[in-house]
Amino acid sequence: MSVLKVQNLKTHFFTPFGLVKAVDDVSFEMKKGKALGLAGESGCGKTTIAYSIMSLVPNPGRIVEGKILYNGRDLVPLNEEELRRIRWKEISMVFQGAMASFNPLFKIGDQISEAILTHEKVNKKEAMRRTNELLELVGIDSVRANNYPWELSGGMKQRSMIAMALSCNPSLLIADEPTTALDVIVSAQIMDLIKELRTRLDLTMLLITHDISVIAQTCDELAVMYGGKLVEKTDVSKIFTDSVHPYTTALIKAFPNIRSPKQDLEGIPGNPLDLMNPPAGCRFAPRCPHVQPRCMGDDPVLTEIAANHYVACHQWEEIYETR
Amino acid sequence: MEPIIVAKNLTKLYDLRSSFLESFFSKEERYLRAVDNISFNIMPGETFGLVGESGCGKTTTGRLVINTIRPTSGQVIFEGRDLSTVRERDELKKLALKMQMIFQDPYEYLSPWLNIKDTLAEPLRIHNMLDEEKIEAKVREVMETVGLTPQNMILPKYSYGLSGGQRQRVMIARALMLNPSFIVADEPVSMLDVSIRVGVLNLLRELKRKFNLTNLFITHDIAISRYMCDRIAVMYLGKIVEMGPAEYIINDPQHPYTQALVAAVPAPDPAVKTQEIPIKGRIPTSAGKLPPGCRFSPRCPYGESCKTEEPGLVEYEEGRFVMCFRPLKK
Repeated sequence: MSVLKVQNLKTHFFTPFGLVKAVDDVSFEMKKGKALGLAGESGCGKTTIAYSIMSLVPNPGRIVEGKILYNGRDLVPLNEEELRRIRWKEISMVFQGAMASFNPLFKIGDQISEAILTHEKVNKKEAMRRTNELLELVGIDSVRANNYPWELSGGMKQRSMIAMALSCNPSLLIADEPTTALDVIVSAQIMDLIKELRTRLDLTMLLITHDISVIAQTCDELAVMYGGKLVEKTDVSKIFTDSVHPYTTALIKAFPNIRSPKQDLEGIPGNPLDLMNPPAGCRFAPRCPHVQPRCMGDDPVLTEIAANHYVACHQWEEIYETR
Repeated sequence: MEPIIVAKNLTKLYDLRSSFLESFFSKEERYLRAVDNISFNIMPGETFGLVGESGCGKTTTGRLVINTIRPTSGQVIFEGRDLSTVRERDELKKLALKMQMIFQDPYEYLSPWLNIKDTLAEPLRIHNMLDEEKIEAKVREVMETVGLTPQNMILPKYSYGLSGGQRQRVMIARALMLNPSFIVADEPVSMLDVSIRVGVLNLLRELKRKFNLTNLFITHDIAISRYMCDRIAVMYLGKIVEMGPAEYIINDPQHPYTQALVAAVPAPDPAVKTQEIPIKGRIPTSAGKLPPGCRFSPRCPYGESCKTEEPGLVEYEEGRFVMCFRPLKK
């Protein structure tokens, strides 16, 4: 059963300098209890998708078309009051840069219990008890509830952020780059925690990151975005052996693997896409090694080429055969 | 072969006493031990990597080596010359011809007031190297080397008109303008997008081969350090805890901290399960008092006798150094 179904979502930003199609006709589905990893470089629209699901798209952006079905109910036309009942209680989010997401003037415990008090009919004492429980759940001693955010380390702040996101027992968790700005060892510990909580609480998760290795270790499915479009989606187990889209393949090759013999890496030629002036046709065409004249004018659509393997590329058959 | 850089017992302390009065009256000395008595050599043509988490002192070490800050004690010897004895402005200027630095943040270190042509020509003008015509030829030559094309489009642009990858290439080009023999690269790709990161790393590797450049490569990413470096030194709280050839550090780490750093790298393949990270806790701030004995002992899964005594960095096999009692006992 699918918990979340995004259909033909278009989120555009109407900036004074021109129209930016940050998310341009994206569709995907998330099954209950599964984790989907969304990968891509900065500015490809992955965070905008998260904000669209939460209905938090900042000005001057807005959802211009499409549906976001949560358990069959479309979230796009809902008003603020209706959304408030869904946010946090049903869908919650761990924001990028957790360090900056807490208010420095209030204690960690108070900030987490505030989230509980706002969304659930419980008294203060009960909220505090649950806060302490949540902190223990993410591996923080509950006496730390009395600390201010600036008294905690980066990793602990990130753990508290996760505790806060889990405070109202959501069924869908969106984690937007939960480990950027953290040190290597700390970020590995945070990813372990997320993995453990996911199985323990039976969470459905959307994990947004630029690091494909993190997705390989924590998710069931991988979706790759480029220039506001979904270019490939499949099971994590397949993507590393069977990836078809040239951008996915290039992304995988761009990470040095520490556990195999040293190999030369291949960069992706050219520069990241300027969303203000995207090329006609396939947006990856100017950087693609398999580019054909057709790709320059004709925009490829996402097609299912094998069971649960979707690709948006004109050349997929040729690539598939020569692989 | 003589090493190009010799760092001997380098130490850099920062005074933490907040005011002059406090430093006058307070008896207690409080220092941040950014770099704590470390020694290493860098051979000509070698890429030497410094790896560690934030606050371990790797950037401070890079700055000490390139003489932009002065050590509290210890020496840096560059091509046989002790940098701490260099006082004259002219001599410092001459040294700048041979040592250059590439910074982490290409968004911050390029002047918004200079176009790319002037940015690249500036070092040559400061050193009165060439006349204007030749300067332009040299600028174009270096741009070619670092892959900044199309030249006529880029030359009149300002840094804000370039992409991150192009800016980092401008930074590299600027460092190359004076034909240095030694370059310190401080996290040169951490601000760049994944898709262009490899391009910049490959450029640095190619330059090293082409010009026989010597590099000090600073990064927090042990996977990248393996890709770039011949030898790696792992730093923890101001100390080098392990040093040796890159492949040994990655495939056969001896210090528990190095083992944890290697284990923390996620495998880009779901079939390979990442090992559990053997250490717990987090880095204590080096501002406070260091733990007694080995500074890693509070987080060490083995820690035995090290609670009272700190091990030294010992060469236990040719070219392989470790600051831990355990591998030595075997």
